[in-house]
Amino acid sequence: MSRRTFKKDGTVKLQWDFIESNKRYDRTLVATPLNPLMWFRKDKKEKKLSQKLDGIENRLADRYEGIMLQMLRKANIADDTSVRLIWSLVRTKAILARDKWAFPRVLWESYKEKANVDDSMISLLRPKFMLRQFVDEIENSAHRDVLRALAYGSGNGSGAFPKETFNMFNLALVSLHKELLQQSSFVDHMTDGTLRAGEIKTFKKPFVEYRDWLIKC
Amino acid sequence: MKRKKDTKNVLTQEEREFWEDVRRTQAETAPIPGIDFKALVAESSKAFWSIRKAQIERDKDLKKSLNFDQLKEMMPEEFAWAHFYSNQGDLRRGFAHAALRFFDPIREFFRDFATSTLPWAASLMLLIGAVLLMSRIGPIAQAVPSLTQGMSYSLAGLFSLFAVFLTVRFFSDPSGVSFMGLQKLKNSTGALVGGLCCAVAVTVLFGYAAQQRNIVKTTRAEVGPLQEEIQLTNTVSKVTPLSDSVLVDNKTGSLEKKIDEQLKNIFPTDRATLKKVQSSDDVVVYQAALLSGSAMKLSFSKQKVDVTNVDGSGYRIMPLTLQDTKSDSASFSSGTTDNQKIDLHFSEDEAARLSALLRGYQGRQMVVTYDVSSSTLVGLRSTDNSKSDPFYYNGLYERVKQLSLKMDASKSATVAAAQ
Repeated sequence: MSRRTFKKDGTVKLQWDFIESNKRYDRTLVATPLNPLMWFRKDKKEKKLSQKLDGIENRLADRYEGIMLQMLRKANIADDTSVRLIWSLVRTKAILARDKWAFPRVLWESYKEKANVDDSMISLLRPKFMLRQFVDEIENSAHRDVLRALAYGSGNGSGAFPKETFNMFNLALVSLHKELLQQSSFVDHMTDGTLRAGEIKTFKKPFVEYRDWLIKC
Repeated sequence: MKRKKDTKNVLTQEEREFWEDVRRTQAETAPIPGIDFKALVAESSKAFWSIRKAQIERDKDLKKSLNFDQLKEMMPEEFAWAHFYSNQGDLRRGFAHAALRFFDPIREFFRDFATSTLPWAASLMLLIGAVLLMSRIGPIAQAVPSLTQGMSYSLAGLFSLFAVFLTVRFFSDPSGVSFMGLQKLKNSTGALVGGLCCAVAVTVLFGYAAQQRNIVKTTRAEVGPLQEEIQLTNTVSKVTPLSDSVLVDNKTGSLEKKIDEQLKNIFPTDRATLKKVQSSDDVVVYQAALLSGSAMKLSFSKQKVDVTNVDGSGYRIMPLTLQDTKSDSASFSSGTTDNQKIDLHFSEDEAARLSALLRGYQGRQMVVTYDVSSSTLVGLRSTDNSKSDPFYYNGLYERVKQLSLKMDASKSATVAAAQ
């Protein structure tokens, strides 16, 4: 059941790239002649990595924007200083991260450090936040889009919801569940223990757990 | 019909709650007026890295201009931390903190070394290990005996394993995930360096093999058939059990294959064809024809192996037991049931040298190789490869070969009789 591959343009791969590029960029900056592979054409490598990192950050920010804004609002820190500080912390932690799966944990921890509210208020959003990376891995594009639009705020917000959308959303939850089962051996690690593979396997249709996490928080 | 359509559009309680939740979620995830999220992320990135660069530059400058006075200035800060922790009742942590901070530059140095130079060193060790291991195998060992002398297989293997371990360990990041995967090697200088290393390794390994082949070829061209025979004699005498197992092999019929293998080793580029010309219970005779045109006769019997050229010259290899060494002779027994005694006679001077060499080896079995036509002793070698006495196995053979002890033909009649 378990699958090791992730989509090339998926959020998971993007997160890996983010962690690895940050570490590599930092290693390039501190490289000395003792580190010949890094030191050789250092300036060119710096420039190349910096550009790559900008691209990755832009795409990651795009994907996490909705849920991050919701988190900022919940913690009453919806201002530009908070965004700047959280993402600075993310980079500091990314450089020191021990593995490439660390991005969601790093972003959540940075947010938690900045949020000056009770833990119980923000922890409700944690499963939804952790599920974000799995949404882009869903094969069915219609299911993927409906989850992005309704739960993560990338829709047009017109307010008109035909009945079919509701049915589509329920089908999308099935796809999401399927995706989580496929990644069951990584789920614990990817979500920093927020979601447990054993627990997920017990979920049954109509998957009210996912619905609660995604739109009730 | 119209009524039916209306019913279809009526939302259930569950659906209404769903839409309310969705609306609320959308409101919470909607962009905040005045905040351009993506622009802020990009801005924070630029700010972060400019601060990090400045920090790195500052550290570099500090390292460059670090002198004793500055060190003294730095010390109180470290001790202040130690003082802080000790005030907290954690003296051990205080000192650990101070010590760690104090050794930061050293730790950085070793981190750089461990992540860059060490893999290179480990790769080099791996390469040397592989070359040494290869040089113990096959024809390369003959080409470079000095390189492999004293180097056991197990030592070379352990060396290579250690180098492999170091390479894997240091080409991995702390989480144990390889960072030098194929994808990363692509478009990097690593690919070039790796390719060059492989090219050097291949050149070295194949260079030795080619060199060996050239030596054999050149020697043959320069010295002619006699030298060829010496090559053959060397190899045949090296596999002394062959003569002992002649009868057994003859019965099982695998002798031909064994001799063929030997010839392939001796003449790797000049494949010999092998033809059985005589076979009896006591003796098996083969005719070997080389592509270069030379031909020789190989006669295997219970007591000896004869390698004879078409012109009658050649060598005899016999397993004998040393009985005694005198001032003018060395006595051997054939070791067969009739226990025939064979005396090899030399001039006084040569016998004295042989006697000195063989002192203490009485009663031990050796393979004696001598030139039939010139009665020259070509080599002596033990029949067991006892590691406790390497001279007895290898050194003696080389020494006797160098001496080229010429037997007294008139007095060595017993040799002829023993034939």
